[in-house]
Amino acid sequence: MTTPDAQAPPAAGRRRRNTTAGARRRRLTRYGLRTRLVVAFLLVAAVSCGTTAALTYRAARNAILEQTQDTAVSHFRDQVRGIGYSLPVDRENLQQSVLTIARQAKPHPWVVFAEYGTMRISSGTRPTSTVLTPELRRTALARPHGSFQRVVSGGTPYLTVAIPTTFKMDETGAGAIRPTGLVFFAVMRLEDEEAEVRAMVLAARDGALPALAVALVPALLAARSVLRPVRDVQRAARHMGQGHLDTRIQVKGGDELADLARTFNESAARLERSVEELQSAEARARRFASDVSHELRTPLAGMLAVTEVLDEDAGGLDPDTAAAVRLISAETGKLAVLVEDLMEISRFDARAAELNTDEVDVAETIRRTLIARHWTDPERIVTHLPDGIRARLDPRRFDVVVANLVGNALRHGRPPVTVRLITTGGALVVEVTDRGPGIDPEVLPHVFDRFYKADPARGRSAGSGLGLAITLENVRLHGGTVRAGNGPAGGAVFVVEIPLRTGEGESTP
Amino acid sequence: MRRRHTALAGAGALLLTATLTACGIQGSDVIEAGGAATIDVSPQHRQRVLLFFVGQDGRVLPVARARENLFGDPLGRIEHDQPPPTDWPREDPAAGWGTSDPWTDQDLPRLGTDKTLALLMYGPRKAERAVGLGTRLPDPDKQAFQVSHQEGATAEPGAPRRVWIRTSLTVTELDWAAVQQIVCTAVYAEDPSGEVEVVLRGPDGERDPARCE
Repeated sequence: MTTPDAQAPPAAGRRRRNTTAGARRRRLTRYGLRTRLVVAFLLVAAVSCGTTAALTYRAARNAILEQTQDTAVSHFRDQVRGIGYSLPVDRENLQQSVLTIARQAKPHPWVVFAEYGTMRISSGTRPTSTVLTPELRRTALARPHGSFQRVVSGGTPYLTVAIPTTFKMDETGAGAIRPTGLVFFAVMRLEDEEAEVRAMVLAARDGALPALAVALVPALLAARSVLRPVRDVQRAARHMGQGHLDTRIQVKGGDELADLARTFNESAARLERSVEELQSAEARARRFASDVSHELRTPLAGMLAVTEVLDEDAGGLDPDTAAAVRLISAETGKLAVLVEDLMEISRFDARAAELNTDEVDVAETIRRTLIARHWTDPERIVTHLPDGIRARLDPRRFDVVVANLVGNALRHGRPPVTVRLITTGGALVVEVTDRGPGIDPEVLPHVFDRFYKADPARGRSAGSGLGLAITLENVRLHGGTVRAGNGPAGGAVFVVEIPLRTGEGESTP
Repeated sequence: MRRRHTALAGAGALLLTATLTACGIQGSDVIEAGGAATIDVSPQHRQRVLLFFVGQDGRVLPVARARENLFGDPLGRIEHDQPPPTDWPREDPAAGWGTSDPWTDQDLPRLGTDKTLALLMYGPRKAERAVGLGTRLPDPDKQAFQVSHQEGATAEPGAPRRVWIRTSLTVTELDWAAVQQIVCTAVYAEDPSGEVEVVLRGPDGERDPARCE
């Protein structure tokens, strides 16, 4: 069992490693697809170039060396073969033949050494060689075989050849062959081979670099051929994001990228179809709401006329019937407001709402709205309306905006309700504040939704449930914004901002 | 990602090492290539006597002495600076010492193995000693070799011929080089093919059959 303490350090170490791996991943993916493709292509080219060059070089070098070695060994053996000696070997005689063999060097000059017992003879200045290794001497003395060894001494490569000598026991050749104890060595510089090998290395290098440069061209072409469809897809996706759902990509070939394009096209088509269906469904729903409101309007007008008459006569009825008649009258009135609001909303949805602007004094307009609704009690309504602010507004719609906001504040908040008019940086700002408990933060994002009930338990509200939605649409029609929030002292704050347009010629809807 | 990096680094390192280590000419081990060179040894086959002595490195090497010189100074007595042993055979062709006439080479009879071994016992001559040859055999006073070819049972067909050599040397005390000196000298005196086994038998016993290695 390990304690948590014992486990903690490795866990921390792993986490640290992971973050560095993540950093490396980010570093790698930071380079574009093109760079990575080209780098990968060049890497493959370099590896194959290098491997080919290395293998070719090895084979060529070995061939050069083998030829030299074989020539040297067999020629050296030929030179030694057939010379006559006495046994023990006569020094003068051996010296002569060593010099003779040294003159017959092939393929390069060699220095010949001979060893017999304690006798050491050479064709050079010194009787023994520092290049010959003990291993070669031991092999040559112990076994009746020719042998060679490449030795690098002082940076110079040498070929050393050892040929032991044997003799026949009788003239027929049937007799045994015994070693004489006389061994010849040849030491040959491999400078020419060294130069050839170096030339090959240079040739391989000088060949590989241009090959890499040439490989850059197909690398770029390959990257282009891969990247072009990717760019097409990207462009199409962006185009589609801008709302052009009919965007399609031209499909070429049958590779994975063509598959990608085809998939993209299919997805786009399906998306377009879905959006069209949605749009038509929405349009149907709106038309339905609009039609219903229109159909309801005529009978409602009749009902309103009747309820008004009934209302007037209610005094003469018995109390229960009078209460029922007044209820019907009130509800019919609400229904009429609801239908009006629905029709207004339908006009917005159908983009049929028009802006009929006029240059007005804003303070005066607001004051007129409040008076028309009988909201003049200073205990309930406090106004800060500086005179002289003029703007191009649709007076009817602006009236609806102010009336809805103030009515909302009076209904849901607590008096006094403050209406403040200010101008900031080219915008007209109307602020409606109440002293109520404010708006629940969860509700805040939805206050402008249609029929949104802040408290589901409350059931029907006094309003139609469309007031703030209509306000929002009206403000938008003016090119402005409306925000809901809570003030620092509690209480809901609604802020309407409409750009100031005092000049002429901007009264377009 | 990490493994791909490692693989890339590995490939790079491999390429680099292959390029670097493959440059130029490297040394090599000792490589055998073909046979030895066969040379002519003079005097030619029938005119020589082969004796085997020991080099300074302990290897047993042959020397070829001319038959015609054997009479003038058959044992290198002058070099040894000592009188010939009284029981040494005189110039007697019938005793197997051959003839002194070099022009009748072809008819020289084979020198007997016992005589050849007697020459061996006398040790290397001056020229032979000059190249480091020596002998591992004891002083040449008391030896006499008796060579017998048919003692005991005959060997099976295909097996090498066997020769028994009786000597006064204590054969069990001889070292490898000394035994090889005797064996090789005896083998090639008997048969140039070398297909002969030698059994050395002394007053102290008998050695296992040996061949010239």
